[in-house]
Amino acid sequence: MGCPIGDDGGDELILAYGARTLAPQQQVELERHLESCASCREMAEAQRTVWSALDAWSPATVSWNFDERLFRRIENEEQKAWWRRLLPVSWSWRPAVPVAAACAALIAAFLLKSPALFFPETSSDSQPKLEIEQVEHALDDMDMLKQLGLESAADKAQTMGKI
Amino acid sequence: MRLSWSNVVSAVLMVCLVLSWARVAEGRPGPKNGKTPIDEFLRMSPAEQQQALNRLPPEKRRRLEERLERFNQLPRGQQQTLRNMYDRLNQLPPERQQAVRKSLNQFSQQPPERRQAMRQELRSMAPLDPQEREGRMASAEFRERFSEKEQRIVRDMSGLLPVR
Repeated sequence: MGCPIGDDGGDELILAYGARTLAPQQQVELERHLESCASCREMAEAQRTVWSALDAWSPATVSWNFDERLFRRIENEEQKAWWRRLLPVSWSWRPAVPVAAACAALIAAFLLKSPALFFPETSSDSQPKLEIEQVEHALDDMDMLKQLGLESAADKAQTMGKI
Repeated sequence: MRLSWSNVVSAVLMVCLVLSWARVAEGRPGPKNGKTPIDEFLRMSPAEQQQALNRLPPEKRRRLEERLERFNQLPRGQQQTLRNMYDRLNQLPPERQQAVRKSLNQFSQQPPERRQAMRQELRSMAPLDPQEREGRMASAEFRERFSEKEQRIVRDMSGLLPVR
């Protein structure tokens, strides 16, 4: 038997030897060749290692109703709302919650910094709250303050305070 | 539900958000936020002003309209100074406000020359800083010049002067 490496279909001969699917006659001939060919022997050895590993692997047991559950899940997936189908398969609310909370905290900071941005003062905002009695009381206060006659002095102090 | 750091952090942030939202809502611009009720009233549309005034008896309404008109005719600078003093009065705790109003009332009941003396004292205090004002009110000269009642009136009024 000539060296199968390099021949057309020669590699498959060694792969079949590793898988123990060669005819007995072919197997005997190949083993005889392996005694004298280091390259083929190395390749056959590698194949034997792969097959040993595969022999040692035991697949996980599948539940008796695996197929039924799988098909039900596929069916449910197809009936989902369109917007949920747009989300990535791995989408989860859990990581989104802290991100949303952080955004909320940022918004809160902006609200505290400049509430006028979010609650612009409009006339309709304050008008219903204003009672005419409040205007009367304010005028009473203003009249009392006016009789003090301190406007010019207060103005002067205010100006000096600004300076 | 499993307790994890992300859940705890989220909960804390949410509480902060709710509290800050409540604070913002509480401090939303209103009649007492830097604007007097008079300003609020003058900013209303004529129809809304009429609607508010209609709640008063005719005579009271007429008097109020006259007072508003008088206030509106004051020079801008004088209006602003009165607003500032009004704001300072309204920023005081309620019981202090009442005390100051009482003193203002007592001030108006004093003889004209005593009113003038207190007015002069307050004018001379206006440019001073709070410590200097306290020093002045603790001085022997001040105590000799004013009766105890007048001293209390001046002390209460001094709280309405601008802080230097």
